Amino acid sequence: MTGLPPITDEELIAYLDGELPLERRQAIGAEIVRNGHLRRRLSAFDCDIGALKIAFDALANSAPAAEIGTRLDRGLGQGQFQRRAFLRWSAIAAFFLAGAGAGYIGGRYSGGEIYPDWHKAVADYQALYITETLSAIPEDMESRRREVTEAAARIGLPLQLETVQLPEFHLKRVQLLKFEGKPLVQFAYLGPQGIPVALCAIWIGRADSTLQVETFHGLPGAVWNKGGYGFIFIGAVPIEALRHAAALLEQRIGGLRLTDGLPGKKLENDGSEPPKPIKSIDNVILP
Amino acid sequence: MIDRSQEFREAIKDLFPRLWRYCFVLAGDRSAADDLAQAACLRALEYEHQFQIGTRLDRWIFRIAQTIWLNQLRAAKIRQGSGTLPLEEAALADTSAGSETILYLSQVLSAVMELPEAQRNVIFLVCVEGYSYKDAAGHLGVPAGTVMSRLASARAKLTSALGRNPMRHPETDEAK
Repeated sequence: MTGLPPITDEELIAYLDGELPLERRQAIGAEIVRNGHLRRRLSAFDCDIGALKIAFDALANSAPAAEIGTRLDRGLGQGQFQRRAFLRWSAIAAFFLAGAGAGYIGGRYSGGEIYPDWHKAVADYQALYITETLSAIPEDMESRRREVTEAAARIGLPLQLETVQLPEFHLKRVQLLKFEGKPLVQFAYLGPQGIPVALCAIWIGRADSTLQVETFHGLPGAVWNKGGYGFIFIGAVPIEALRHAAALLEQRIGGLRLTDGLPGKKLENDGSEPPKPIKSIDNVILP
Repeated sequence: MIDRSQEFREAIKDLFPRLWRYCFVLAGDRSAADDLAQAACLRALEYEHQFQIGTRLDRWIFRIAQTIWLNQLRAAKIRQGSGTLPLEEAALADTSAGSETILYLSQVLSAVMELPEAQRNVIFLVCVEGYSYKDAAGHLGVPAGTVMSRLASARAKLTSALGRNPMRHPETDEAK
């Protein structure tokens, strides 16, 4: 045991939720690595928050939204909602196929910053991945090469397959997702021991920041910003393996000229627009 | 040309599913959630002029819902003797659909709804809606320490009821 002050249950919760000051978080993180008793205490709080969010997102899908829409248009007159005993199966299925809907409302009243909530949304989504999610996808590097280029181009990033290929991490899939109306690209890997890991990137319009390893809802993730884009490399692999691979990605991406061909982009804008506007993006796996 | 009121109504419509599920967390069943969400929308329209552009509409209307719940509907529900939660209401779907996923998510919801009201409120705000501890404390009108202790209790119960996430902290098994 080190000279750390006693670690309370509340601090362990705050550690899981990424709410501790940096110094204390790092100290507790190091102690967790050393101390089996502390790891067991931590695991007693490590419920599946990702499933919690998905369950409540599905519940939201069963809200009587059509009724309220009609009644808001009429000025919310008298009467009661139509009661429904159950959420329709088809609605739930469609919801899950849509990728668990990380974004909600857009426009003037959306409020809230995209940063850093997108990290947590990615963490929740990533927490649902298991080895089998990706293991059946065949190794087809020519397809991956095309997917990487196309997906990255949709958010204005000049990435190539070589940029995102990693030793000991097998690139299995590229997806375009959406967070609060903004396109988000996800590169999904199987890492050491078949553990799913993902690199995600999104335009956030923020200044550069160097790589830091943090915990997002219990899942370790390496985050950095470059050229107005936010990046996260996240998965339940050992921290050093995560950090090493993320540093390689940061170095490669840092060597790109991200502002080429993107006139008028401001790093300190409100983050409301990606550099290359797109008409629509669904949560789809690229062909 | 869309005027501000029309835009305001549209924004409320967009966030209504999230408002409704928060009302479900507070009230504990669909019927009460319908009534509470409707009341919150009505109040929001009534006080639209007090909403400050540039602040978060979702959090503003969540506060409205909570205030109505605490001041009016909750007391009425308790008076009616329906303060306990009908857990079947938390079910997401007719289980005859046969989906293990839906069954599991229904169990997740039921586990949350079995928590004391204060605990399920805070775990919803922090873990589902992404409130910081500070924001949750402000919303609930309690110190951040209270938020943390409620979260600790809630997460311990949920982990006990549902098991811990096997994908996280795989090293925790090593010491067992």
